[in-house]
Amino acid sequence: MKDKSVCEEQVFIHIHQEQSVPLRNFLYYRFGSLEKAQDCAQESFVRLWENCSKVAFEKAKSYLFTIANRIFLDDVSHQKVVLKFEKHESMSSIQMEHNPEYVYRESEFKSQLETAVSSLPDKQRTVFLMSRIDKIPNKEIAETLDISIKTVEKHMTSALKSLKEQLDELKDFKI
Amino acid sequence: MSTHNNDTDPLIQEWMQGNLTDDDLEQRIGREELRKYQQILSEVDQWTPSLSDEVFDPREILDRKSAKVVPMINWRTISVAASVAVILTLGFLFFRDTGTEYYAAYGEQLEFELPDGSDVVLAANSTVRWEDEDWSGETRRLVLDGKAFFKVIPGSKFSVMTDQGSVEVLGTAFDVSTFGVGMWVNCYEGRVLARDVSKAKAQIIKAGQSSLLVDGSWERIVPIKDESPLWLGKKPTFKNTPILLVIKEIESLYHVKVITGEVDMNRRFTGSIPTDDLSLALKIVFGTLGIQFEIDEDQVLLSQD
Repeated sequence: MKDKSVCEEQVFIHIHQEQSVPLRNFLYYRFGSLEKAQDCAQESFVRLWENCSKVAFEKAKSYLFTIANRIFLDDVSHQKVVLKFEKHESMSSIQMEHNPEYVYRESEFKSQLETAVSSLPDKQRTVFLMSRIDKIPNKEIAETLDISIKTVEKHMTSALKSLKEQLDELKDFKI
Repeated sequence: MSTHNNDTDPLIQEWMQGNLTDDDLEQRIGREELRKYQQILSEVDQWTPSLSDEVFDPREILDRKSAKVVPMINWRTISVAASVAVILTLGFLFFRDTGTEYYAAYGEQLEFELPDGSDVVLAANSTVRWEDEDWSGETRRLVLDGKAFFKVIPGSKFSVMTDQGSVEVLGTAFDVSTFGVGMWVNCYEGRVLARDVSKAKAQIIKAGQSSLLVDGSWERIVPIKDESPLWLGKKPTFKNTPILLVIKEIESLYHVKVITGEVDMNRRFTGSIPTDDLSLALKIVFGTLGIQFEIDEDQVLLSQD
């Protein structure tokens, strides 16, 4: 069977459908500006299309994420990342009642967690959010970012523990 | 001071992956710690950078390249773009001479196969039509007026054009319905790329998701649990659906004309309606919204205090 080529329009559109939102989100987690993340994701797809004959189909994903990372680094001087999130409609208030350890009003908990997430080291934060928000399996995160699964797992655990510690400190501080 | 207990790291890792139960982790780290982790994760799991998954249109990129000097692909891109343009403008004019048309009458549902073997279920008072050349070679394209469910055999691009927008897939199952001011797309398998009629706003809709185009913009994506459209089971079910779309369904099922008069149509309805009892259907829909109705032969007159 002939290998898939990124230069085929259907293949390209398929990659675009699969990856445009995860790519935009990755850039947001990493650098903190949604608008720039969107532009930069688009620019990365333009580069992929321009270089379609040089990029193997299996490498298209990691090519996109690598090139996006580079475009973004060239573009902005690195600023402090401050992330804000929207929330899916859900049963969050019910869950809160079952999990009353951090007894904040919901909006307060959200903003404190946002601050804590924003202050995580870049790679931890990016991997953690790709896994939790975009539900990307560890193996795929590893492939996309060109790191080992062990590293992905380490980032995940460190991120969660560090978030808990930050919230604990805030709580102690309040009392 | 917090102490780093690295012994539990592998356990926490396994637990986050879903390979270790809450109880097992609780035994090792205690109830309070477990609950803190749960609370953090359940909060983060609901987050998204943006509730709108609107993305730019990949065709812009494909077209952009066609402006440059890249032989081969350049030529192909232009010819594809041109053939789409021609069909959009001339499709309706020449259709009846060289095409095929299926129409499901009021209160009926029609199942048939497309030339490529893909399945269609056409809802009441809806039409699907295409020209012969829409199904030649790599092209798979049809025009929908009303509502239909498509189970698409994987292959070349499959496009559904409507007067409100278009939906493109490679192989998947989804349904599309159009109503006066918008289009509703539910995806059950795979994923689809839906665009408004100006093609300026593209929306990717994945399996288990639903999205509504109203007055030219996409509303936030909402999850759907069903594996196929509920209306295939003949009992139309709505969830926070614009009232105009519900009215269109009632008109198609019962062959009536609903006269909305002065009543505010900017409302939503959630619930199911029967397909064999007009009066009950009207009571279910309009009763909950505080709208009065009157049946006059084949007309339904709405009013509001």
